[in-house]
Amino acid sequence: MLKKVVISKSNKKALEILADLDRKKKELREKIEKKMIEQNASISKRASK
Amino acid sequence: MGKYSFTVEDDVDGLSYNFRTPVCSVVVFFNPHAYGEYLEKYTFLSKNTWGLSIFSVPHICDNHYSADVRIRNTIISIIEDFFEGQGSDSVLLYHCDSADGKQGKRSKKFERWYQNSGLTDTMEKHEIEFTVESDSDESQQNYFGFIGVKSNPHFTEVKNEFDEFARSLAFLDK
Repeated sequence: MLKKVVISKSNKKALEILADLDRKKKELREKIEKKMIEQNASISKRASK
Repeated sequence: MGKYSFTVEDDVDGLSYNFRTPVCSVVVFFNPHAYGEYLEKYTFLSKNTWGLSIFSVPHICDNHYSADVRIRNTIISIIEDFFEGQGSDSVLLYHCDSADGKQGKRSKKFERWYQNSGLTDTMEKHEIEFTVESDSDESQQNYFGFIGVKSNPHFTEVKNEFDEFARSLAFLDK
């Protein structure tokens, strides 16, 4: 099986795909982190009552 | 095997497994649409393929939470639970987040977790390092991989298609 692949800096299509996957990961991370922070705040609020 | 209890939430974007440790909250997210548009032409890789992402948010300042072996154990247990629920013909695809430049560390840690878990008996993990050439001496690495159950009747085809996908990325400009 393949272990390593080299992508040329002129390979615009592949670079766009990598950038798109990173962008989607970032969006998902931000959405989930926001939700987790809200849940943690809610838990802390309940605990302090 | 010490681990944390977790909950499962059917989110609009996928399946969210959540657990909380004394220092952080962790979400293991399975997204059935994460890579779909790039895998349409692959017969086996386009079916039952889910994107795997792991996120954590610390709730107290502690840089040592990653040393908590129960986090690894829980994530391994979640992956096992996922395959039990979705079936052995499911495949998990992942790529290591490179936003902060720590994708190499993530790749190594995930490999260490896999090697030190019981997953190696029933599952196989394969990862490819993509090196993006650069004008400077510092080329950037990206890591893509998949995890599948060895009893998947199409495991060989999945492996071949994953390699083909990687090769096709390298030759998209040709």
